[in-house]
Amino acid sequence: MNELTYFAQIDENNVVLAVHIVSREFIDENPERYPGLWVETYRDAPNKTYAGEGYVYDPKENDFYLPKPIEI
Amino acid sequence: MAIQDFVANQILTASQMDTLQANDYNWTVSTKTASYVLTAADKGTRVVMNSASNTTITVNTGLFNASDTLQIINIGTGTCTVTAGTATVTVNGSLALTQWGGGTLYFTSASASIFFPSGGISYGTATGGSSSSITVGGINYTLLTFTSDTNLVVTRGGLFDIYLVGGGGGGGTSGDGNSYAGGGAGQIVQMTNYLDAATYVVDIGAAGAGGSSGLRTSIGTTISAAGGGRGGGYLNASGLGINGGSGGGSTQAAPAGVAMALGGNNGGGSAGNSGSGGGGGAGSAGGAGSGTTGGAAGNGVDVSSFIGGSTLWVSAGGGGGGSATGGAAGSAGGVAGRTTSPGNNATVSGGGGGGATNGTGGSGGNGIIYVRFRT
Repeated sequence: MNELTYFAQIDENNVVLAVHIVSREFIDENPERYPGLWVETYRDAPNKTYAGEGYVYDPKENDFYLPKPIEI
Repeated sequence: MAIQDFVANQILTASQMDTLQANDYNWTVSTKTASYVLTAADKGTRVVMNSASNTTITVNTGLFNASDTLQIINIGTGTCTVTAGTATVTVNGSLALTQWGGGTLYFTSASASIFFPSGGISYGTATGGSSSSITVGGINYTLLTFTSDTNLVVTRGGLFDIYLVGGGGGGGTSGDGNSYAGGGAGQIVQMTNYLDAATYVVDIGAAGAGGSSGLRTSIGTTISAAGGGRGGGYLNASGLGINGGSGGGSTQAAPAGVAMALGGNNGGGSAGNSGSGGGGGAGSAGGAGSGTTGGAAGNGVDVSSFIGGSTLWVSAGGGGGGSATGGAAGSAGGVAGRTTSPGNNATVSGGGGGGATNGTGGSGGNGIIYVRFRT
């Protein structure tokens, strides 16, 4: 079985909207299913943070981080 | 009445004539309640299977001639499978007859037959994902397993058994030295559904990262399983467990996540922030945190009754973090909460991630889809 790859969809503020288990090739072949900007995220890579919904993408570090708490 | 061999000058009785006429208008019925091997006397008759168990009707060579026919119908709740014995049986479709299914068996020679299904709804055929052959409850299936986004291509419309698991929620995440809650499991949806011949979009719900919920798994626009809710943590709205397929646990006396979908269970709560609640699983609710001990993970569900083979857990919860003792993993696919960071990642499909102490919660397990059809 091929190793799974993960891509995060980010908005104009670099906030993660969704994460999909999908290859880059499949995204490119199906643009109607994957509109917008998609950045690869890694589950088990050293020094990389796996993205979740609401995480923020840092283009300089090419990594994701969880935003500060929202107090209620 | 089986076909007779009449001889010259034989006198036919009224009873024989009535029986022959009845057979001409309404084929003679021969009801079976267990697996059966066809005999020559079945030519031109209707063999009716009526059994609550799965059965077979076996076709052997040397009993029939070219152009002979007979009908086979199944009125029982068990599946009746037309089975090639020493003769061949060709079919464009399935030989497995569910209740109310049936068809005509037509012989092209003494050793070859064709089955023409009619009546009832039979299983379809499809491609996509990873294909394998399985046997469950004595019935043979083709199993398609989907672990990433792709398409399900139904090449012949019909029934399909479908099992979806949503992505598991991540464990609660903290940065203040306290312990936070376990993630909830993804929803399980199991159904037998008719699908037309078409291409269907398959989306596999990704696992929730620490501090985020799992994502939805779906086929097309109408079949889906919800992702599990994340566990509560300092970095996520003050300990609130999030609702989902199964709910995430909570901490700091915040409400635990509630199961928002059928088959899910709630997360466990906690009065303090040193032992947080466990995430709910598809098999049971998450345990409550107590003192410095995290709540136990909710149990998962064994999917082997659907895909065969040995026990395989899916959709268990994550244990809550605890400053002295992490929440127990249990024995049904869950992962334990931790006293340190990061939390344990889920190890089963749709599982919730474990809660951590002073750090990042474990990530959930990816969703998965199983589609099977009879062969």
